[in-house]
Amino acid sequence: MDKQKKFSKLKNEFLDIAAHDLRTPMSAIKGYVDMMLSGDFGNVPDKLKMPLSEIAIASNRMIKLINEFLTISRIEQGKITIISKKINLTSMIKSITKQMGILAEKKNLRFCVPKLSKDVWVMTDPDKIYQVIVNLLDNAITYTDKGSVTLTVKSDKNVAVLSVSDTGRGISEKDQKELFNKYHQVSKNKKINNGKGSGLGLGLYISRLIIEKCKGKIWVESQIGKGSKFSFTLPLADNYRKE
Amino acid sequence: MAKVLMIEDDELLVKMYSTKLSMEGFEVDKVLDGQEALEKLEKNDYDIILLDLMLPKVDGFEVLEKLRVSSWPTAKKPVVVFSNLGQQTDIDRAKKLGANDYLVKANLTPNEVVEKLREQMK
Repeated sequence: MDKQKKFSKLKNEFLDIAAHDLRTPMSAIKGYVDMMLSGDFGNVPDKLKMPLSEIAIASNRMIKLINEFLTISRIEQGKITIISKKINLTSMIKSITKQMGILAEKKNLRFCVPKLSKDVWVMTDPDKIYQVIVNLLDNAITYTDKGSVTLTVKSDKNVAVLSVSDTGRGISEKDQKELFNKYHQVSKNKKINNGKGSGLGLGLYISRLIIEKCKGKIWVESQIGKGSKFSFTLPLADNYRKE
Repeated sequence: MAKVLMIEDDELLVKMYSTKLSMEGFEVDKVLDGQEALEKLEKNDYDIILLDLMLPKVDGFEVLEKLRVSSWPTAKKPVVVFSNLGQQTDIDRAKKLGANDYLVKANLTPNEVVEKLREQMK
């Protein structure tokens, strides 16, 4: 056990250093490509626009992956502080809805967020939960080619339940069992959404770690061809009034 | 022409951002460590300061703290922290010490950084 802990500690320390040192050259690649595409170094010939855009997409993926490795490493080392404060989940959803609505619109998907008659207050870490909700919505939009993505919030005894449903391709039972584990990747098809759908499956693992640290649960209900519904719970704050 | 002091120890990023900022009409002064940053801030005036946190000699937090309690012409000028440290504790600490904004380097493009600088100068 000691050896395992020691190895885990070394691994996390390495990840911290590597991730930090990788970010700078990645920032430079991303930055210069952005400048080129903006015309800062003169007009870009048409035939170069596509490869430059692909480099931009690939470097964004690398940066996202590095950020995810860092987040996991910090959570596993207990370095991430999870705060617990009363937050208005309804207000948070309104601000997320604006940015995610634009993404959904680009894919001609309907983005539905039914209005709540009363605000839902929960005890949680607002920055971390924001990250989880954005991750779930981002996945739903990425893996849905037509139809809709719906976000709902309801109360159930002492918890708020937030769900993100989509009319996407669905997830097999076999994949559902491994979905929230580290490095799980549902689809090996690297051509999905310009490769955005491929890559290591870290987002749901991070979401699970965060939700569990926030004293909630996360799960999925899905059928192949019928879409998916990802849900998680958060403790309700004291002054929540049922609808 | 707005004058910016870029306090950043990574020469790759210094080159990229000073090129971009110059293209966008800024007059750019640059230093590679916190000690040199304090010397520049004491003797010169700038319209805005772009400050990395992980710096040799004196770190960015200390530079910010010393700047804000000083009576230098730059004491109250907008400071935009520009770091890859992205934890909420780092952000809170920087804001408490007087940072006007906090940008995570890896998440932004040079165009977005310029926009953020201009927002602080309005």
